[in-house]
Amino acid sequence: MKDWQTVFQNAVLGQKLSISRILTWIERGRDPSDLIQKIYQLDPSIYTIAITGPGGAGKSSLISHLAHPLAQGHYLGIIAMDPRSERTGGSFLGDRIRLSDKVNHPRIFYRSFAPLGTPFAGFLTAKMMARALGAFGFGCVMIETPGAGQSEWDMERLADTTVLVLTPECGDEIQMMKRGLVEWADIFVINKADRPGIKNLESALQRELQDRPHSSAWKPPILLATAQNGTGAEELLEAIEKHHQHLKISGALEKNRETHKHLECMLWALSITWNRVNKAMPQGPLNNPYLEAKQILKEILHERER
Amino acid sequence: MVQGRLPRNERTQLPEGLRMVEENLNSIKILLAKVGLDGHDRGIKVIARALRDAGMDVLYTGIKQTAESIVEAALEEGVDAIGISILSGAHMTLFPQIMRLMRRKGLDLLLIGGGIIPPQDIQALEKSGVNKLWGPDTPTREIIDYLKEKIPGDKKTS
Repeated sequence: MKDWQTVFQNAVLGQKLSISRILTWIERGRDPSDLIQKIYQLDPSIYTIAITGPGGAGKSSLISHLAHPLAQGHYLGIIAMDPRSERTGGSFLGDRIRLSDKVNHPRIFYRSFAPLGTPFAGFLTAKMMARALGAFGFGCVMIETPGAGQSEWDMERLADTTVLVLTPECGDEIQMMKRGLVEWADIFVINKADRPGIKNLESALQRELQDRPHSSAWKPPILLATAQNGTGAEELLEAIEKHHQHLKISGALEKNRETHKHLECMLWALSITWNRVNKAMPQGPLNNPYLEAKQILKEILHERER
Repeated sequence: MVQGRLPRNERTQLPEGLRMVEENLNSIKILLAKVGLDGHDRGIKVIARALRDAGMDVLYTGIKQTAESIVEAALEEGVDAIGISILSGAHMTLFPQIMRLMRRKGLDLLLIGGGIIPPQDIQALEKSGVNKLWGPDTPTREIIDYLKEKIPGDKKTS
């Protein structure tokens, strides 16, 4: 097997198999002091769009209509994440099938994955894959994520532009559901807009948007779509482009990316600690979990740095 | 070396941040596809679920797949194995086509399949490089055991 530097060089030169290998190493693991550090050193820039929302909202369908237009003039990556079953350890990567014809395009690279590892693995894996694609000359990447947006390390936090896809049925639950996302998504899409309940959802969203700080110059649009037949895709593309321009002009693009890096740093630290704690965890009954925890931390902090 | 798989002795080099508890490392990633003009995919879906329940990452690319689309998807997804379900009888052309494309694109991974394939054809195809073919009604346990045996540290010789 070629050493990873050669594979990386070939990937930079555009060789598809090498691009695939690097992404696989990120997806399934490779020494961070080499590959991942190399990626950070290069500090590649890639415009990242997160498409998120509840299951069945039509994310894959929308992505299928955005793919070709976004691949005009540059290379487009699409990363689709599906959850891993805790019970079985397996996953069903079911997003690709919804796009099959659309991703058969010389400038589109589509990768599905399920996070493997710590609770932070989804975020870190997707982010590193996106950065790697940037290093290989890709101009844009769409990341399809099962929307939650409620913890700081949810995948939506890693994008430049976040699109939240909802359906009219979400109207009643909007206050309770996915508060995080509603609070800071950049663009809202009400998909399956041929169904009843749109007005309800629109008003609920408007109310949420009013709570946002007025200082923010970006007014998140609420778009309607019927992704099944492509209706609304053009408007969504325009909105994404508008947001991209806004980010560049306002300086928010760079500012947000700095915040992402801080988040990544925290997650790497937590990830490494998680694994070490896991390893040091005693078997058998615990008398005092709190004291035990402090003991474990003491032990791992005294470990020699590997 | 099967692409994407890390042999056991490389496991300790897995990035600290991404590593999971030992047993679940290196989950097997497999692409399943159904070839042929018919749309009967209940069988392959049963297998897909069984493989997922056995801890694998399963990518089902759907019915009416072509050799080209299957191999291209396998390339992009970095899978450890391709599993083909074929009921239409075109296996003697299809599998060689897939193997040709795999060679051309530099892919080195397990190629398995099943469906309506007569035993003498199974023999011929396995001789020409297909890793394993099964007849209809093969228990999923057999497929799972085969994959788990072949993939960690497996060195494909073709």
